[in-house]
Amino acid sequence: MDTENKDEYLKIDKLSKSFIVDGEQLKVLNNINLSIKSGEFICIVGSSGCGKSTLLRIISGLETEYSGDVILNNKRIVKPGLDRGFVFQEPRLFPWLTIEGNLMYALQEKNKQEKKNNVKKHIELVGLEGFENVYPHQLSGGMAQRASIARALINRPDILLLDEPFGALDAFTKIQMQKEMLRIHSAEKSTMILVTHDIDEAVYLADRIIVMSSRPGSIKEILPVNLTRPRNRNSKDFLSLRKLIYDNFFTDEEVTDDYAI
Amino acid sequence: MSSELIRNRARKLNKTNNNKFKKLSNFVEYFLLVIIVIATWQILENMQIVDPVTLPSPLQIFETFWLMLLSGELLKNIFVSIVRVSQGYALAVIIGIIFGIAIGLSARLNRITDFVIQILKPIPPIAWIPLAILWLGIGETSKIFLIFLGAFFPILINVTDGIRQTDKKLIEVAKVLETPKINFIIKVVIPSALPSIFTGLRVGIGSAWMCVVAAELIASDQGVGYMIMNARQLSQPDVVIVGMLAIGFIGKIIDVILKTIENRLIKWN
Repeated sequence: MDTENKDEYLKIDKLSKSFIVDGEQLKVLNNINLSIKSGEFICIVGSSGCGKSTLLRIISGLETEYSGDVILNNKRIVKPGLDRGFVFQEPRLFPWLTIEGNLMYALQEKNKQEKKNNVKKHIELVGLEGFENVYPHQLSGGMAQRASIARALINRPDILLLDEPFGALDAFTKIQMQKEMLRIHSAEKSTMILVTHDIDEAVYLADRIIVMSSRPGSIKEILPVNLTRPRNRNSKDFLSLRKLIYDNFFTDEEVTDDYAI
Repeated sequence: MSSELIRNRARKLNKTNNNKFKKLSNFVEYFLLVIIVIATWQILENMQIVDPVTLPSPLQIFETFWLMLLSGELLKNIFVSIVRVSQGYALAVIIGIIFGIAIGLSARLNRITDFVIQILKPIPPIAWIPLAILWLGIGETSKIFLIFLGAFFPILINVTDGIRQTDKKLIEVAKVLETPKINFIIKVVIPSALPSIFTGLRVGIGSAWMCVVAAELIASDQGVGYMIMNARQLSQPDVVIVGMLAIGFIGKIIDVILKTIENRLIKWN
């Protein structure tokens, strides 16, 4: 990668997206422009229906029809690829495969021993040692989500896309998982884009926070977070940034739980 | 502290006792209706309210059953029927699963075949008997054909449904992981359809078992169906009932076997 493009590892240019609902066009994303550096941790916040999940799905290649350009590593995104890992809101593990089986599934290399080693390494990375031969339904929500993060990481993607990955977890598990996320980010050096409706989560994790507004979804503000890690959630700076985001962008909108379509 | 310990232990003991009692009472409940029916039936016979020529007593039926078992007549006929069912059913399973997967995966194949399947499905296998005899004669082939028809449609339809109902969320996972098509079918589509496939197999065997009797009622000199029809002509209602009960019991046993295999295979539910 040449230096010129380093700051534009992922470049989103004049991106718009509409769905047809009951024969009528519904615009969900309007003129999104954004450049993301390699290795950056980006959080996208916004209330329900602001199109933040759709944006993530376009980057993943799951939504292929859009206008404008989404360019990853100098290539326009037209389909899913192993250079992008995706963590869904629910763990979405295959119920008929063990945790080990689920991770094995994600790998396409032929060498069995290499595969096994790789799986073992990633099970350790997310702290699930001892649960290799357990079926997903035997795990708690937080553990299942860890397994799905390991599955998304196992092909060593350059970029990890996370769609409200901790939305369904209890507060304690959530905080634990956010810490793990930072640890994985510094260990794997991959780019992270995390969609959330939790402002606290965004301020804790992000290098930059993208604030989106709804109907049609567009970028309202891009805020750099210049706080050193690990961040103290009760520090003055943390709280004031959190308050700033909340007061400026969400007072006129109802903050409700967001469910992916 | 110690009193609490004792109380706890007592509670536990009570619980296991309750469980044992519950199990016993469940067991009794399971057979209660059968016992009542048989007892009432026997009593009515003993009081000579029911004529033993039209409806023999349970004891007499049991005696007939025992004699037929000893003479080998019953087992011989059951064996013949089971062989027929196995052949027709095996054919239905193989063809039904292959076509079911193909139709479930391909929207085009589904469009092409749907109308024909919808028309053929409601025709009871018994209605095929005249054609089966006309085409295939009164030998084994026509019987196997009827059994095949009985089992094929339930298997086909359940397999197709199961394949088509693969969770969209899991399909997205497979897409994101760039799973090759063949792996996708083997590791995602088929396991997810397995409960449905088993429903098809169980409905199919039930139907196949019904069809063998129907086929044997028409033209046969062996098998449970023949045994029943022959006994009617000889006015042996006890033999008829023994034959009917044999069909029922074997159907139940087959279902239990399939259910066990299903539970073994589908560990994740």
